[in-house]
Amino acid sequence: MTVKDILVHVDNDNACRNRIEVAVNLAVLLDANLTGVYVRRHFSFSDHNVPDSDAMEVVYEDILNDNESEAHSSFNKLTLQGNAEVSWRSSSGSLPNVVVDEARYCDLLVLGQPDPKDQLSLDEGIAGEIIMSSGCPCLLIPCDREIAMLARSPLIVWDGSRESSRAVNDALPLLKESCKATVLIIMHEPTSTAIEDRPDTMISEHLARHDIDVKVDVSRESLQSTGDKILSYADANEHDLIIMGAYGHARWREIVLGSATRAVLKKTKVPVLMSH
Amino acid sequence: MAFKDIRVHVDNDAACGKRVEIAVNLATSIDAHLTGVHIRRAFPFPAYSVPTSPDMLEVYHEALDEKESNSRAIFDKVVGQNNAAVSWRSITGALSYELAADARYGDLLVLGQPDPKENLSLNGGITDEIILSAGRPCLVIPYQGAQVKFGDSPLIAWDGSQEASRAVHDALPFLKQAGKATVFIVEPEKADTAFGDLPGAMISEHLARHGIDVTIEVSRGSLQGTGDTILTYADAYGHDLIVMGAYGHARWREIVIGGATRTIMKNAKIPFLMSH
Repeated sequence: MTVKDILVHVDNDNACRNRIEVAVNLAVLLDANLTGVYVRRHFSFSDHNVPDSDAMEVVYEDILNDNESEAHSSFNKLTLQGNAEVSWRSSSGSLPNVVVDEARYCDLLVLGQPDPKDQLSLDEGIAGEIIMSSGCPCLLIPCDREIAMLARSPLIVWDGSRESSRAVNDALPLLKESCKATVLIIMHEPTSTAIEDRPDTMISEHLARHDIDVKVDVSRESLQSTGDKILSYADANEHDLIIMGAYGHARWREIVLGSATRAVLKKTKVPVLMSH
Repeated sequence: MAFKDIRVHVDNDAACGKRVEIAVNLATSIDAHLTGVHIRRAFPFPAYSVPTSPDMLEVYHEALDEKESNSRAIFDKVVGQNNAAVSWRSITGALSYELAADARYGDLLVLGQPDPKENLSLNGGITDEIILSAGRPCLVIPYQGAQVKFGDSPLIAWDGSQEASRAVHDALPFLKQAGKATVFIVEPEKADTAFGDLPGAMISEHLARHGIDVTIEVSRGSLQGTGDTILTYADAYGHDLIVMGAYGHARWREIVIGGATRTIMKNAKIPFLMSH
């Protein structure tokens, strides 16, 4: 797939500035348009039986307006230099729903990693909901870091799952821009494919057909959880982007593999492209 | 980004030859590698419920061997000798599981539409399972009247869902090839975004950025179910490819809304691309 439309979630969190910078860099790199989506968090004072709710609504509207214009002007400033078409979409509603609605029309969604220290960042549950319902790849930018470029040295996590396949295919435009990519194979269950077919050969053959050369490594048995394995491998080998499937489909897998997604979401220090 | 790695399911069903011909034609025209995949269905009953003897198993395996060599013959006849752009895989295991697992190493899986009159064609339940778990788009070829050339006039069944979004993005190589598409909306309320845009407006804008000219059609409402409405429209306006999302996420939706998917699966007379 080609990336023609990048969507970045804009908010009043501390990490937003860097997130927009990364989105702008990507839009330039991939020659894509950039849209910022902002959610005015809807809250009904009257529904919650708050006394003097009419007056509260007015004050709240003012706060929302201030927050939105702060975010909007920051977005405008940061997107000045690019040639790409830039748009702003703002709507009132629930955070995951508004972002997910807008995500139908993009090729890549840029989100901020949940930051326990910043109340205005996405919370883990909402980030998870967005990733599961967006229908598009989600690029999570770590909080607490200054990320400049990414994708020079991506790490693809392959476990033969449906989600892995989504992630690899979604990442093709980024992989084409990378200098060297590594596939880390973590197979959870033995497959009944023919002995001579091995996931390492098969995935590198597939990527070769897309003119992408990869080095393949197979994860060894260890006491580490999958999420930690991925993170320490990425760290040890200085990868600047992790590409992985998020949340398995089946209930048991959401518990087992879901924990890898959650661990990486929570602890990653490099951007992660997740697809479901 | 084009399809570079296509899989076609090869078996002994009557429609297989045509299906392989279509797959070969597609692969050749876009310079993609084609893999013929045959699944040898492992004896499906565990020994404790169906006790077998070595003789029985031998007979069973002989039947499997025959099916496999028939399939290989059909495939070879169409692809010709010494064709570097094709490969063959024969996998032993459960049909839907293996076909889906293998599909994840490719870009597109070509399947045959279930033929109610033929045992050897995929039955409806199996195709559903494959589409739900492949993580890759599935191009389903009708068992009757399939044309080798198709795709000049794609019809996108759009309902604003994440599956529809996945299908549209998966189908981009077809849509770009055609240069145009009709976005057909059966239930406009579902396609409404949080932003109050006109039905189909946002997806058209997005597709335009991918170089695709879009016509929007909103169904006036009919007494037919969604699936039949789509097929009637496609037939009336000479469309030769349907692109649609398959099955919602939640279980209950698979029963209610899945009705459209099942109708298309059963009654379509033109190829359809489905993603989940």
